[in-house]
Formats: sequence, structure tokens, C-alpha cells
Amino acid sequence: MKKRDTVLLTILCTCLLTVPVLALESTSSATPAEEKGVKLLREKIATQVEEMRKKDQKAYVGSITKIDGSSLTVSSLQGTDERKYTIKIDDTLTTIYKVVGATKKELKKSDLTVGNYVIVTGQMISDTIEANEVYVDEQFLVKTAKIIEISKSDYYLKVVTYDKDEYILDIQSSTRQFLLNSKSKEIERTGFSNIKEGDSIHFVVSKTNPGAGKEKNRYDAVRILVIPQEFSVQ
Amino acid sequence: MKKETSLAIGMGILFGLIFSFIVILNTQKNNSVTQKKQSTKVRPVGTTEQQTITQPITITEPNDGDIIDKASVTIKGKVEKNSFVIVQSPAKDGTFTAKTEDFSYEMPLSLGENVIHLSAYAKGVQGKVQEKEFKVYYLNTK
Repeated sequence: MKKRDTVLLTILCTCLLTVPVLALESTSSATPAEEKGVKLLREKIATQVEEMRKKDQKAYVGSITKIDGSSLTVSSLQGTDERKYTIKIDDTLTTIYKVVGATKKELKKSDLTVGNYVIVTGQMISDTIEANEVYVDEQFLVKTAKIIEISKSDYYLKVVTYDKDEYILDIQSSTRQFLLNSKSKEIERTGFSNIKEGDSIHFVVSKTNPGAGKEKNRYDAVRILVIPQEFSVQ
Repeated sequence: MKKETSLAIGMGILFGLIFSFIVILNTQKNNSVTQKKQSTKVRPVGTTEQQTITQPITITEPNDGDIIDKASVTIKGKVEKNSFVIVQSPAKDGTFTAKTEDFSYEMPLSLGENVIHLSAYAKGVQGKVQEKEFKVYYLNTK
């Protein structure tokens, strides 16, 4: 190859290797209206992402059956099936609370005990949850049933739900008792003497605090709402 | 052919036509009466209409297991028209009468798990109360 050809080839290659370089800063400034539009769009996207994140967030519930260092085993009944989860507690990332009425109190990991009913948030990967938050809460049962027996001496009601489950409800002085007025359809406070066999009953009981020395399916009633039989046949 | 024979044949055809016309008319009349009777049977009478539930209780909002970040939730769904509905939760009992099949009801929530139980007493329908239960979690993460 001649020297002249070599020089020409070198120049040609140099020209081909030249690529456009983008400026790091924009040369033309955006108008205030455009900037506002971009800001609004960013905010809208951020809100939608947050909504989607919240939508995907799920709570896992159950009773603690085992505590092993930073790992909890939680058992949950889904219908008749029992499901077990492993909850991983991270000392720096996981926050543990106890629900006390309308407020929450922060707890330590060492405060958790077997039998606690917990609500857990976090990401689940094959039955293991990396917990963000753990709430120790009270588990309530809310049911509708028919009164089949009333004990005026021991102040209890025997009821049967429409799923044929039987419960005994002990009416305590703390039980809030209400009755539906058949005519006005207003809920009124009532007493034990106004309850009759055959009436429908809507009740709330605490599964975690059923009352001292209770047999299975026997609870201290937290709140009852009685629907008189005459209302049901209207 | 004799004149009498032709007359007899003509008369026979005429009577035949008249007879077949009458038969067709009667058949059509009978059919319409039967259809009328059948349609009366299909149409439910007032009391029968009241004794069947056409709209089972359904919840469209919120979903079971939802996490809510405020102290109340709007429950939306469908129920039999004119049903008396009782909404129960550990926090509160509420009642309303569904004027239409679609309903919307605001329910206060307590912190933590909220078991919400709906029972619908359909008007004029005796027997089983319709029930629906779901859980939502009010977790104030602030």
C-alpha cells in the first residue's frame, strides 16, 4: 500500500469512528408550563405506584405456635384447612405492636408469646414472610344464630348458627345487650329478661379471651343484638 | 254427466270447504285459550313473588383481607331489594333497609382486624337469613 493510501484510509477510519456526543445539560430550557406538566405527571405516577403497592399489600393472620429466635411459626385456619407460615423478624426492620383499644403500643420481640393472635404485613415467598410489621391483636367471632335455650338462673344462652354450630353465650354484666324494635326498626338497649327462645341473635365474642375456665364453644358475650321472632315473620 | 250429479258434487265440495273452515277456526281458538292458560300459570302471583330470593347477598367492595389505612370503610354490594340488613363488627352494629338491589354503607373500623358480618332479612321471606362475612385490617402505619 502506498503511503498516500494509508493516510487516506486513516482519515476515513477516523471520520467513521466519530460519534455524536449528547450534551449533559439541555441547551434549550423548558417553559414553566412544561415543567409544571412534568411535575404533575411525576406526582400522578408516584400516587398510582403507591396505590398499587397498597393494593398488593396483604395481611397474614394466625396464632403463634412456635417461637425460635427470630423466626415465628404462625398457624391459621382457613375454613377447615390449617395453614402454617414462617415469620422472619428483622431486629432493625420489623416493628412489633400490640393493639390496645384505638391505639397501638410498641413491643419487643421478647414480648411475643405462643398463642398470640398476630396480623403480619410483609412479603411472602413460599410460606415465609419477611415481616415489616407485626400487630398482636384480639380475635373476635361475629355470628348470627337462633336462640334454642335460655338459662334464667345461670344467665346463659344456647344458640345454634345457620351452619349448625352450637355456642353457649354467658351474659355478663359487661355484655352490651341490644334489641331490635320490630316496629320502628331502631336498635335499643335491653335486658336479659326480654330475650325469648326462637329469637335470632347477632353476637360478638372474643376468641382470644373467651372467659376463665370455658369449655369449647362457650364464651363470655361481648355484645349481642336480638332480633325478635315477630320481626323475622314480617 | 247428469245435472243432478254435478249439483251433488258442487254441494259436497261447498259443504266440505265450510266444514274444514269451521274446524280450522275452532283449532285456532283452542290453541289461543291454551296459551292464555299457560301464560297465567307462568306469571307468579303476588305472594309467590315475595317468597323467593332472586338476588343473593354479594360484596363488591372491599375485598376480603384488604388493608385499610383509615378508620372507616365503604361497603358496596348487592342484596335483595327491600331487605333489612344488619352490619356487625366488633366495633359497631349498624342497620339499613336496601331500597334498591345496590347498596353502599359506611362502617367505622377499629385498629387491627375487623370481622364484618352482614345479615339480610328479605321482606316477606321467611326462613334462612342471608349472610356474608369478610375481614379487613385497619393498620395505621404512621
